[in-house]
Amino acid sequence: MKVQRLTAARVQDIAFFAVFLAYAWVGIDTRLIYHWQGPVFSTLPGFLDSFLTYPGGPADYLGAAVAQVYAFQGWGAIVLTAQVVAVVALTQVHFAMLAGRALALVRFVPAVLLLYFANLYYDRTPILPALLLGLTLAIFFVRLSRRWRNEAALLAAYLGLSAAAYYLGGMAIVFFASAVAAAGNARRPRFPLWIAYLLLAAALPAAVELLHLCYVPVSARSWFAGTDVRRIIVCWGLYVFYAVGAAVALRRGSVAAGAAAVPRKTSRPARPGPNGKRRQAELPATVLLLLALGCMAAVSYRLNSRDRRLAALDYYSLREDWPAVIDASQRLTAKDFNLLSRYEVNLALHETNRLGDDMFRFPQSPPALLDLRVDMFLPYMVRLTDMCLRLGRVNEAEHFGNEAMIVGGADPRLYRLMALINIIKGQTAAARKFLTVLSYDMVFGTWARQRLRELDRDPLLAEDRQVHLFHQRMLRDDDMLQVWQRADLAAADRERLLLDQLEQDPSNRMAFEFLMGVYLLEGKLDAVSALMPRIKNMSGPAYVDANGKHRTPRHYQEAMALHAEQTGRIVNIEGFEIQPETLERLTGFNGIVRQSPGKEAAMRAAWDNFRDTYFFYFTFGPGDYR
Amino acid sequence: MRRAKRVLLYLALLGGVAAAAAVNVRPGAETLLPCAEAHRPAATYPDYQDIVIPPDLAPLNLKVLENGRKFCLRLSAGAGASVELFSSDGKMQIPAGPWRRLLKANSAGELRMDFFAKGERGWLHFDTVRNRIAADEIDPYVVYRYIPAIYNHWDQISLRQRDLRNFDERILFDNQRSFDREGRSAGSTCINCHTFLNHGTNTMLLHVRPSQPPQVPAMILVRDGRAEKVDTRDGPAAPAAYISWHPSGKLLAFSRNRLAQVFHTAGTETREVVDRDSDLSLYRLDTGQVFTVPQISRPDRLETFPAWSPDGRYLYFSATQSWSGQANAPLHYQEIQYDLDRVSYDIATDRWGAVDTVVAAASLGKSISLPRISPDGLSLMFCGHDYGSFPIYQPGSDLYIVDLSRIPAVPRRLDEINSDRTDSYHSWSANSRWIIFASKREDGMFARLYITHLEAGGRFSKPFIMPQEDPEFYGRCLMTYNRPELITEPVTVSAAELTRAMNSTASRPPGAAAPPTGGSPALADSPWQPLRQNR
Repeated sequence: MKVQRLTAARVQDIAFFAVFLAYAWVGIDTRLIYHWQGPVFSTLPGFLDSFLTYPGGPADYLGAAVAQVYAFQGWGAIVLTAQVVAVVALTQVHFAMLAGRALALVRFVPAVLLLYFANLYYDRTPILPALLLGLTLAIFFVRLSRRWRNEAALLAAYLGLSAAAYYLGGMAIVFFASAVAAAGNARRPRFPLWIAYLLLAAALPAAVELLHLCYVPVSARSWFAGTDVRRIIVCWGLYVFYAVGAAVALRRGSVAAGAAAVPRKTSRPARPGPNGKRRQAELPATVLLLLALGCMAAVSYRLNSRDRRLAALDYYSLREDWPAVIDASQRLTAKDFNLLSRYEVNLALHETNRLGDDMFRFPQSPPALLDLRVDMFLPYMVRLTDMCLRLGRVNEAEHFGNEAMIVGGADPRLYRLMALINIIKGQTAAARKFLTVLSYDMVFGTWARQRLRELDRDPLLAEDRQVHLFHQRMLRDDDMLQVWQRADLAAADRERLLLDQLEQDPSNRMAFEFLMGVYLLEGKLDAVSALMPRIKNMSGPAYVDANGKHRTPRHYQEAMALHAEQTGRIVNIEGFEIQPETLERLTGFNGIVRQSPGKEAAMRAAWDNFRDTYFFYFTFGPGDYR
Repeated sequence: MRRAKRVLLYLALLGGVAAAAAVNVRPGAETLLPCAEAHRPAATYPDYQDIVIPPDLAPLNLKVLENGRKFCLRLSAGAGASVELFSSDGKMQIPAGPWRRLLKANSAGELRMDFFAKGERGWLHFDTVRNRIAADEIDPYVVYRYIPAIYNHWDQISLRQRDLRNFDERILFDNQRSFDREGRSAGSTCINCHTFLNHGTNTMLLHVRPSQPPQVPAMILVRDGRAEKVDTRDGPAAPAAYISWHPSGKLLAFSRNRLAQVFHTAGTETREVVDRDSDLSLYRLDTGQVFTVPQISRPDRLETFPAWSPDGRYLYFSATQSWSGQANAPLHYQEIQYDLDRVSYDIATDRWGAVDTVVAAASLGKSISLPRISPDGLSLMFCGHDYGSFPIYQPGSDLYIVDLSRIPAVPRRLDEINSDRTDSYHSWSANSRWIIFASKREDGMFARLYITHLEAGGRFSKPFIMPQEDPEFYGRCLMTYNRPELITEPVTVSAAELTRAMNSTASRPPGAAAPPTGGSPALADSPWQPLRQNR
């Protein structure tokens, strides 16, 4: 009978965690957690030291170490699920000790909350290590409370364990204290020791912070307060679950009489009755459980889908998986086409030789480049550094990379970029320092060690295709005064900046296409026309068709056609002429616009055939015309 | 009885271990014979070959960069027991006790370092390295800023004190982790220009530049362990920047600079700082009065980098033509070069003399900054660089020395210690025999501290990097060492007290509201703006 009951519970466990694992794998995709949070972990000597100087530091360290596995989708899902399994198992043990019997489906509540938490990609709170530590210490204390008679000794043990929970796990003290308070209440129902336990647990972080006994990077107040409601729901949900759950378990259990009664290890049936009835009840319960999990997963997926989509876009962009970037961008709403995501989509189009042809298939608005300014959002700074490097603005890349390391901390992606920047500048010794630090990183370490070996062989990496390209693009003449110091400018002169890159390297396709993008987005047809002769220096599939003949990207032709219409003269560049079809399409478009009674009507009329053209953008302005 | 025997046995074992340690028998030790000769010096990091060592310096831990599966370092000298170290990875961490004894027994003598590497064919011996142990002691402490490569944001700045006799490092202030007694931090405050009176720490100061209002840039003046915040601004003039103590401790000379930071878009160094306007002022500690005199605040000159002579009779400073009235002057910032000037002063009568030019920039072909005079008053060291007044961002910055007994002086470029990268901020030891300076010679990006000894003939010994406990530390350190100052005693003021002063309301000296006498007018904002600041 017992074996059958256990087996049924196992079936529930297996079913639940199989679904959880699948969701963690596909729905959450831990690579995005790793990417968005950028947990810094290193085996560098002394790296652990800083984590040992503040309460919760060890949990941060452990959390960062575990999160390294998240960089790999499959292993990340498995490790995430394993941690949640451990939480559920400890919850089960804890409540079984208090109630004297196993829990029913309620044991999965923390798992559901944690599933939701894992979907908050950016939140670095090490809630899993804290929860595991808090529960472990709570179980240990409950066991002690049943063996020890001396209240003073028990209080001393409580204080010691509280301090350990706070130091090792930060918010672990919250889960520990609530569980212990319930046990204290069970031991002495008439003497409100549990209040003392709770007050002491609250007093410890408060005293540390108010008296400033040590460095505290994140205040205890933030554990249950903040601007993100979703995170608050999870934290409060877990706290209430363990506090109320423990109280309810004790009320129902057989241990309320005190520590003298040692409960049986195995539990009584939750609902005493004939086995047949139990088995009959378990199937619907399991189905109900899975349905609840499914609903929670769906809600979680839905509520956090925006974070996931933006994280995915940035993740693929940093990995230079350009088709995936374009694919991910299809799922973005118009609102999500912000400065960063718009640039990333345009970069993907550029890298796949489609920017001049397909730019206006996506929502567009100026500016085409990222703002050249320091932002506190680390992914923005990483991308800004990368953008400057790709354009050949190597010194600006170094500037923004250094700023990013100050505002965003030690991030392996920045170290990688900084190493590349220094290699391109010929500062091999500095590059080696960044690579040496990176070689201690669990995710990027192999790459860094490989790069160091390459530097041993060739200090300038002259054979490296990317290094060669960026070195060719690197600005040689200082244009600081022209680009940054003009009195009439509130920001950098992007046009001058890109033109200077083209002067440096006339074949700099990125500078050409983004400068063309700047002009197109701002409707500067004269500037487009003036820039067009530089198309002769361009190469690649965007400018040479499969037959080896020159071609002009579609949007450039459309802009030139509009310019010809405005000025009455066609600027033809040998080999890059405007196709007659483009002129015909412009005539057709103009006809539709002229015949329509107003702007809205014209948009509707031209929608099917022209919404992905520059004619449409030029006429109707920025918008989502997908 | 049996228990007593056991205790005795343990004690005997313990004694054996201690004795083994005393005679330097270490795990992995083995005979080095037979061994072949490499006929060349061993490659090591750091390079501690042919240097002069202070007699009280921490062990010169290093890593042997030769091929081999086992390495040995034998330290020996004329007197005292030699030390042998074995390592499988080449890292040699010399035990402090034997090292100290060896140095002490051989002051003014020679220290030999023999390196061995064991390969497939047995031990290989490299040429013996012969270093000299100086008789002159170096100041036991150095205080420096430990900072990342700073552009517009200045988090992660700390002020640290290193005990040069060992590897102890104390954080005097950290702008993220230091708090006052009420638990308040000073925010992302920039701290700079720590300056000590006569190499002591009882009277010292530093500057704070808060990241945001309502706090104001101010001077933190420390006397007898108590810190006080002083607002040295007056009207449109900038706060105090570079500072020098009069040796009497009664007077401070300081510069007020209107600096602009801009960024080069090509070339090795990204950053540039241009001084648009500057004057020198004085702060009298007894009355708390800020004032100036015409000689050091001429309207047609930019004066900066004050440095009192050790006898207090001269104030040295850098100066150049003001760019007032030149609308496009900033466009020519690379043509501005500073002279080294001085003005005499008698503190008893409070009389100032006329300004002399000690070294003309035109004659040197370099701009002169950061003059520092040796405590014995015989020499003046400065940075010479192509233009402007911010040497740390100029790869061509070198150190020069001037014999002050011969004015007008002919400076000598210190080729024996300079490198092809930035060599800048230098500090003399109290006995004028040692210099510690910052150099980016390793990689052009991160400054490290180098120590050199002034030899009898007026030349300096080969500089060596300040030793660290882990010889590989610098290879993975992405921070820079900035503005080292040698001191003879440890800093006593606490981080909490410094933070309290930073968070307090600045006192305003009585004279601060008045415009500087004869001071050059503040320049109206020209098109030359640090456009990227505060955006």
